[in-house]
Amino acid sequence: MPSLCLYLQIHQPYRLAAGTSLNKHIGPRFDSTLNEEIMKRVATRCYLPTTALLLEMAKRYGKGFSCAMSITGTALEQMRRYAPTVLDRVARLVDIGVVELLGETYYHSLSSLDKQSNEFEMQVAMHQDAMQTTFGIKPQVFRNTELIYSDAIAHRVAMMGFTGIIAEGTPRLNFIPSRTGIYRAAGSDLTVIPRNYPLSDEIAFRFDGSNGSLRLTPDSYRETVSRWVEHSENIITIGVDCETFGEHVGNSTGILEFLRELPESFLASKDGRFVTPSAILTESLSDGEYSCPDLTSWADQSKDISTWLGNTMQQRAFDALYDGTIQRVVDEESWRRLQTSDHLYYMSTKQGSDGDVHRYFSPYESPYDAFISFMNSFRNECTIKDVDTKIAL
Amino acid sequence: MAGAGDMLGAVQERVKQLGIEDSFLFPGFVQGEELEELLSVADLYVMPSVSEPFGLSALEAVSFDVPVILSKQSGVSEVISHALKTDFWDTDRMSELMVHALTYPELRLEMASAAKHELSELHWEVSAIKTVEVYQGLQGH
Repeated sequence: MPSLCLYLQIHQPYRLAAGTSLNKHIGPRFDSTLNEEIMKRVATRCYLPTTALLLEMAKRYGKGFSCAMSITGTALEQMRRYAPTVLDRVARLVDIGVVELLGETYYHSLSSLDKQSNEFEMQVAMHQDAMQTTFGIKPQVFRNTELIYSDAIAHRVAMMGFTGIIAEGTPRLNFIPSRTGIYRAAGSDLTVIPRNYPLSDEIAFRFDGSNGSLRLTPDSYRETVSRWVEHSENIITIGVDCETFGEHVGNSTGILEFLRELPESFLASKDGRFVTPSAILTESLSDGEYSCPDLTSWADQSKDISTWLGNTMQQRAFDALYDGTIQRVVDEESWRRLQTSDHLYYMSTKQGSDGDVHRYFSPYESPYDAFISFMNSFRNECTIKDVDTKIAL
Repeated sequence: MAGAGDMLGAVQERVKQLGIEDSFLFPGFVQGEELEELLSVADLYVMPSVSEPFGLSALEAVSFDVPVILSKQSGVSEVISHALKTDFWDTDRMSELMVHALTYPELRLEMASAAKHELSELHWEVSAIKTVEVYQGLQGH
């Protein structure tokens, strides 16, 4: 049985208010009512029960169980305001060494795709400050927004002093020999910890057996994991949204019970153990070089950046974010909140199962409404007459 | 503004009052080549219908790569998802959507191409088979 590295992502964006007036420029309006409602709902269904469960597991398994967690700055702020108990519990979990916090961009942004500025570095530093202030720690391992990764991004992350990074475990990794399944980033000393997406998706998308398979149990999952393992030194990283537990997958399915019993099943098997990302670094387990010139991510089936930049509306919005258009007309905080990748995610016109996932997360009726809401949030005063004139030209 | 109806005279009068005749064309009921000519130069097609059992003309617009704004009270709004939609009585929202669509070329481009893809999956045969299936289902009861 391999070592298991479990990583939970916590994120909530600042959603924009629907409906924008044509006749006056009012700047971005974030829907505080909706954002409060969603944070409170997700806290009740997921964050509170999950953190309570992790504390319970800490008591039950002692040092036998640990995991990583990453909390975006926008989620942190909203938790502080609407669900502070969650933060108290995370702080406790960090104190007792059960949870390791990861670094990322404060605004869960696509700033790593902007090569011209140092906005990426600024937002990572902001997040580090927030982790230091809130939890008293400085993350050593980085995870970019939805695991967006390339050699160039790895280089930037290494330059900021991180020693490890979580990346999507794309199929090309299968061609790089490694006993552990942990790699070195090409051109830097950064350790690359790949997420095993088929095994992660078993929990995130197939837990309740709705695709015709049987519902997962800790034992059946352990069996599935063991079939992936080639060497006992293998490290399997399972990364899912924390919201999987209770929000995306309802508690009635027994998903929290599954998490509660998972360690027992794994720890009972030979060599089964839980590791945190920084423990992987300490043990110096990387043994193959991973070169990844193209951008990869954990999003959609294509596992690239088409989730956010797959159509011309998304490209226009992205350009406006990083060519100064938005920065010139709104305050800095609003500009950064607009950088949260969710806004571009809502504009995706992908069809099929990817499209279904996009629609699940989107507060809009259509990607076109998402685009209109985003673009109108920063435009200058614009009247119907202005537009008529522009078109006539 | 194509078509005819009870309100046509009042609309033409209103356009005159506002002095915006230069921006309006009232070709009446159009079909054939004239229709194709109009659709091929249109930036946007708006169906503000109070009630529309289906609304084939919206599909004709889509087939000419014209993005569409639909009243939610039209049948066609149930089969075309890549469109901007609003209730027919929300005329402020409808005019806003028209301005937005004319302001952002990317919006028109994406709506038109995705709607055209949807259109390619609509066939009389499929509708006919579905209808027959409904009747057959009723026979069994």
